[in-house]
Amino acid sequence: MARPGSEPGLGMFLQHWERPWAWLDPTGTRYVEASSLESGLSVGTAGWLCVNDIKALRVDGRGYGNKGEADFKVTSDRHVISLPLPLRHGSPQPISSGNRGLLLDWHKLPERPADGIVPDDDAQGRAKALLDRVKSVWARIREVEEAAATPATMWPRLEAIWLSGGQADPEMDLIVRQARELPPVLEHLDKAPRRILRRTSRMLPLARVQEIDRKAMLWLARQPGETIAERAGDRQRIQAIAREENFNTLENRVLLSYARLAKEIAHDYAQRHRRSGSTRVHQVRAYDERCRRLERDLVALGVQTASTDVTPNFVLQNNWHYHQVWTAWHELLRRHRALDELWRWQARSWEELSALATIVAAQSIPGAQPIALSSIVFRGEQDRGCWIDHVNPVAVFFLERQQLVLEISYRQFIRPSKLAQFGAAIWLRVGRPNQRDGLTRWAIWPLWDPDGGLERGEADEVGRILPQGRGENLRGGITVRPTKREEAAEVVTSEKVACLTLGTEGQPLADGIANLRRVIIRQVLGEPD
Amino acid sequence: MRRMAGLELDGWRDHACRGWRLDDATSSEGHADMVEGGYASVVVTAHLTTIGGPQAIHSPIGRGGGWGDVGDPVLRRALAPLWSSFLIGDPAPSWTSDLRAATDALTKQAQDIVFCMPDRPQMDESRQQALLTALTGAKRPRVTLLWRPVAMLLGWLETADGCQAREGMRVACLQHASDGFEIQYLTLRALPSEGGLLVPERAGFGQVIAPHLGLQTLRDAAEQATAKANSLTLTSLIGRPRLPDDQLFAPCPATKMEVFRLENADWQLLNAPEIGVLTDHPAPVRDLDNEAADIVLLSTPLAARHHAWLRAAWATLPAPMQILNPGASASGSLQAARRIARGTPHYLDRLDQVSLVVLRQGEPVFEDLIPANAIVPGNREYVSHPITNMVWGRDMASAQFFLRKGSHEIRCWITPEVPAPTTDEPLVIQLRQRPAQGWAALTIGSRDWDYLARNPIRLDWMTLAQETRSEQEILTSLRGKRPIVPHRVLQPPGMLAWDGVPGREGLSSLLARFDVSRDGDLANLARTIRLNPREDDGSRSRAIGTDGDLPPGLSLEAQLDLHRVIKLLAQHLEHQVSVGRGLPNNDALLTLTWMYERCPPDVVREIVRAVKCALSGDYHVFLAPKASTTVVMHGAGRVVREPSDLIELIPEALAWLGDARPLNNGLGLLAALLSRPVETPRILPQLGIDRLAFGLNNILHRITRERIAGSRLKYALISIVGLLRIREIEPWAMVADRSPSAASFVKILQDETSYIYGPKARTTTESILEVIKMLEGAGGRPDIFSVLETIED
Repeated sequence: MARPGSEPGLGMFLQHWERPWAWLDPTGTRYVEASSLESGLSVGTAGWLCVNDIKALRVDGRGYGNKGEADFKVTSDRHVISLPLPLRHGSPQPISSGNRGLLLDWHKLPERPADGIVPDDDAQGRAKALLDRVKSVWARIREVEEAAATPATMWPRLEAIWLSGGQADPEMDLIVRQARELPPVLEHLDKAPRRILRRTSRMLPLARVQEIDRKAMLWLARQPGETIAERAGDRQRIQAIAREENFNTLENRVLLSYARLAKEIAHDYAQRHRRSGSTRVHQVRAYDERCRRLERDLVALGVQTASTDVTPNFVLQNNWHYHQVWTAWHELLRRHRALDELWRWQARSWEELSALATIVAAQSIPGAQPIALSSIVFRGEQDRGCWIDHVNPVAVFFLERQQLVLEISYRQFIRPSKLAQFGAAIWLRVGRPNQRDGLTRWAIWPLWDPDGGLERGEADEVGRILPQGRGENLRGGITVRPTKREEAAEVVTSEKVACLTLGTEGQPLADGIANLRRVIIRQVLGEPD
Repeated sequence: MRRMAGLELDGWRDHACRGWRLDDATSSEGHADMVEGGYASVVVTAHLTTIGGPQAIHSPIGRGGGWGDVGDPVLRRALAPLWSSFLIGDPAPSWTSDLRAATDALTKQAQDIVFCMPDRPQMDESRQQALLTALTGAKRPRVTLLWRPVAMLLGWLETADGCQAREGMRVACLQHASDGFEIQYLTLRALPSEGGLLVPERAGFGQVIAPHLGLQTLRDAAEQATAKANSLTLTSLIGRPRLPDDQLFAPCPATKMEVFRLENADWQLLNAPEIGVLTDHPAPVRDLDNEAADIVLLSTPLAARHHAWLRAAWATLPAPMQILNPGASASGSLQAARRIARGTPHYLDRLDQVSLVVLRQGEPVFEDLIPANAIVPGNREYVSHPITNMVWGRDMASAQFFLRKGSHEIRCWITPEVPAPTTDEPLVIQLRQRPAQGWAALTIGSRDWDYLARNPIRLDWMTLAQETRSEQEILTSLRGKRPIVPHRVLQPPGMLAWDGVPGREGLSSLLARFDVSRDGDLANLARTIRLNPREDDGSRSRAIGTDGDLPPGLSLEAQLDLHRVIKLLAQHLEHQVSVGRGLPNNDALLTLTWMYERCPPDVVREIVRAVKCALSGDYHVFLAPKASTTVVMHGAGRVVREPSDLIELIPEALAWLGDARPLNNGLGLLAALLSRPVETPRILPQLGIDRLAFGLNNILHRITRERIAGSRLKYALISIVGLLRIREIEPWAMVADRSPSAASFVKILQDETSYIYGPKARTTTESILEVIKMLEGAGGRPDIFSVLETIED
């Protein structure tokens, strides 16, 4: 069998993988090996890079920058890392490792659209749908944090939250919280924004002169005439200090910038959930309106926008109202940046969502009793699209009806091993109590795709690589792909392989989980209907 | 409203009670969500993060080698033993982070937490402080500690059964703990100010009883039974199966088996003992009968199916027992949090007495900052009355204080060094304490001393050395050498004047043949009675002592004669007064007044009247003869003894002296009144020592200005020293470095008496030096009056 990377005599090694199992791919179609000349490559999915030295890897001329950690290793000197999507596609993206290079052309994939975009054409519609999926995945993952507030029943609760479909509230979002907490603050600031009195030197009618400075005195002295009235000339004006109200202060510029950003995000949230009758959506819609009004008022006062990197002044730090706005603005900005990051790493987020969905599916198998459930720590900041810290096995259930133990692990095989070569992010392991033998494994590959839907021939392809895991009791494989836009969840199964799609919200999500559960019961646990 | 939560976290069965809706940002009144924390809870370490709560209980971390690297048992720590080691004073190194993790797991998003702590003597201020330090910090919720029995009772009051509660009800609260039952008696009090709201009142720590029913014992037994039922040894159950815990604590139905992972990663089915756990009939508890209670509340983590077993153990209770629902303490804590937020007391607590050694009137005593048995509302900070009579001495960099906490624990506190002040600075010492929230905050500040006003010294209880000495020993060691108290003028009588000296007839024979109508007899008597003959040993003594006493060897006849003569003279004087005729001479008065206090009270009263007349310039029969003013005034000095008279005469004499008149008589009277009567020290505080000192100060000033020496100076000095007799009552009074009056006397005596010099004035200068020493409190002699008597005219 021709293995990739078997060319002898070259120090550096760089491959682009289309599938995580590319190392074992007997057909050689799922990877492209870089040569010393930069070879162009048009990619249709995020993909992986397989290199011998992560530190030597350059993407867009810069280091890859993830502390040199591989997603997994297939051999001791073959590191596999996932590749982030670019936000914009300009010219093809150069990727190099030493003397090997690739030019990735991302034009088959959509660019990151603006948050509140209203799609004009199909391409924009595709991009918008993808962004909505990113947000939706993010919302689902964040709901883990909500479920963890009742830690004893975290997984049933997560299932309840996920599967409540359109019945319950739409997801809790930063903008919902701000829509609840900030209106009094905005009301206060809109009524009386801070202003400064600016002193300018101007020609003023004598009757309105209140204050003159040295410069004005000098001017006055130079004027011809004896009395002030004479010096004031025929227009009866002299130079004097005029005090003008000015609202274009830093704190008001920040307020305006916040109002603009909050308006966009609130509008987007309300649009996404326009069919929901939840109070959350109502609140956010009202908040959108509030921010719009504030923006109008501030613009009318001549306030400009602030740039995102301003240093807060005393007012922003110490005035309670403005400080609230400053904090809220930064939260939204961080959220905006977080969305950028999520866009870049959406393939990895998809793996995380699939892992969570697998646990939810397994725990809802009738008669399933948890033996061990990994603690789930929700990170303060994402790590390349991932938010959850766990230990392996992430969940172990005893299935009373089948008298079997089902172990689920996620990102377990990182160190080089036979199983790691399969590149599966999720593994199932089935054991039988009080018996030594009978351990079987199943691999689950979450496969991100911009458009979603099942891929023809995937079951066969997976079926072809499975025999290589026979020594490790590998019995079968499952691929999990996103559903097509506004389509239902699908599933195709063969004896040892199941390919299914999973939605990110509502019915497609519920159906996807149900399909996954059925596949686990029927195929993994071998129970007839 | 802030997001509030009550938390009950003992490691056996944890609960939090959340006072807000999860999808709502703020707290809603009346809302309460019970968060189950699981039973037999643990804390695990994953990727250097510590995790508590149900997530930790269910996690595979630390459950034995069969789970791979994460199965290392050191990564998993049970919470109940962590509490036990904390309470015996040997907390595990990870205690702080473990407790935080366990708390955070159940109180996500909370802003205020009321945390239940065991009510037992080990939970003293230092451990309370340790808990608060562990649980609070930047960006962490506010934590208030609450005694668990109080939380339990508050939780019970919220339930339907709580309507039985009434004012004065005595409730015994039993909490099932690792090593037995914690028992505490609380009394319900109705607060009139809060519309009759019932609050528990606590008086001191609870106790641990019934150790044989401790949860650790029960759990160990259940583990043994499980191992036995599966024919395994305890050592093969390294991963600590949950089955024994399920058997004891899991709500119905109890799980009958557990899939357990062995060290080799195989799965083993463990079966629960067929007959269950807690099968033996428990030994009944008898420790409770001595204290009466109206109701007994019991809180236990054991599952409801074991409650009958538990009731059997407590069968002999004198009062009805109620087993509370799980989480009652947590919901009670939430109630407490809400009461605190509303500003109503959630319970009343008794504070430990705290006293500080202070000098009161020069004497070290323990002064209470918190009085004994002070009952205060638990939601408010107790602020003591400030102690303001202490002084930070000049050039002192640090000071030493002695504090007494409770009835016996005494600690010595040496303050950190501060820039020493250049003058003595008065201090303000104040104590603040919230019941059960760690150490009291004791601050030493100052109103005038800028440094201390800005940086008050705060007491750090943890660094205080505990005293081994007793309270009395410390007070004794602090007691300085007291200033000398002058002995009052007391001259004993002598027989010589009675028996007669060569050339003069003795008083005995004079009295025997005395006839009031015979010329010369009275004059003779008056002369003889004031004789002051020198005895063989050189001392001088008069016939009658200054207290009116007679020599012990005096014959009965002489006494009777004296009695007769006194009566005669008194009648004579009374007659003169009654007819309003002026006395022909002073002899009768002289005779009676030289008998000192033997002078009849009626006569004394008339003399006092005469003195007043003399002072105000009015006529009196006693003032008719020549030189009678001197006789009356000096005589009054010898005979007056009643406090009421003293109170009247001393200020009048002083006021009279204030005007420019001859000083002799007034000073003589004043000196005698201040130096002789027994009662003088007791009336001095009433008269105002500073006022008297001020008056005398003016007189002394006048004397030195007019360069007067001799008897007037003598009388002035005797008067000044007479004031020092107040030290019989206030040992540190009139000492120059505390009393400005004394200091001013010293200043005058030191600086303005240079006109007295020469060998002839030696006794005077020496006497003055003695007086200065007395005033400075640095020596002097008790018999100072007799020294002053030697000053010659």
